[in-house]
Amino acid sequence: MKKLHLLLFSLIIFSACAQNTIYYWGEYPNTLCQYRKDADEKSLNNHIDQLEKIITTSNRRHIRVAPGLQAELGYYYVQLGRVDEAIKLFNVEMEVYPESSVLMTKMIGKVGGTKE
Amino acid sequence: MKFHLVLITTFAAILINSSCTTLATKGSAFPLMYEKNPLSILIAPPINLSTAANAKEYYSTTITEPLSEYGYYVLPYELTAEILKAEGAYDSELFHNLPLSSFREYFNADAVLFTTIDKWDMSYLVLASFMTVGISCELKSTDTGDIMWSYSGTLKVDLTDRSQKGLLAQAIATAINSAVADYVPYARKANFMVLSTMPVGKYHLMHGKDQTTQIQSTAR
Repeated sequence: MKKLHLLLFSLIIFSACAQNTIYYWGEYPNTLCQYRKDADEKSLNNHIDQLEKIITTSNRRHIRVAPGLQAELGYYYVQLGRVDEAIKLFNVEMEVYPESSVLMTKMIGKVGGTKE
Repeated sequence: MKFHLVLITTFAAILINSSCTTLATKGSAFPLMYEKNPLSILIAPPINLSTAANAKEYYSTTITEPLSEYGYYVLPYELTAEILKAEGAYDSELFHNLPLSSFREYFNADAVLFTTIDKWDMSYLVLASFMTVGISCELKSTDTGDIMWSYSGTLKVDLTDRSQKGLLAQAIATAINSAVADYVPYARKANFMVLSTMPVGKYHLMHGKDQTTQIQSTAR
């Protein structure tokens, strides 16, 4: 019950100072925080679902996916052994944000090297 | 003209007396931001000076969003923090005062954002409860190590539920139920507040045009 109050209260605060946003974030801060808190498979899958939804929604709305989110999803894919999908995402991050290319190239080299 | 001068002086005096802050513009307060024009920012693992043990892990989830919305490319924290951990550099206290050129070489970061959690707690009075989140931030150039932008802010939230009877019971319930993670929405809010004083980056419409935006500069 108290949690609900807290939630309502924070909603009031946030709506009072709504910002113009460049990106679509969905529930990103919440699912990430939950993953930090629980650090289990369920919370990770939930966070991955959320990232996938954010990317789909952003693409549908023709807006740029927020910095780092595609790279972050790729990083989780690596942990799950989905290397090809991960590399694809690292490449997309690099295309959209060329300033990420140093790190993305490193990531691709790293997972590409461990593939076989 | 004279009248204006008097007005301005009075206004300034009130501000200084009341909160030790003065008005400044983004351009005059942070000229290096316009000179160096950083784009990619690496968020260093937060430095936790509060009494809340997990604040570092939780607080770090709340910086990417506001910093991106203010127009910067934020290197993916989950990745960079993992790499720093593997390199034995997860405690930012260790490299806070060292040259940051390796961050440029390894991550292509133009700047490193250092954040310190000064306060992350709840105060319980008999009839009220307050949640306080206090943070201070510094953006350092990886080229020169110069501090290009810095700011600090405290957000105090009144959680007293005045609509209900049994206030004391409510306060106790709050004390029992509030976990470290409950602070996260407020930390996020505090970040939006603090980071709004930063000149905006390349991906923001106002990039390079906000020199005259007024901010309250914290007294040093």
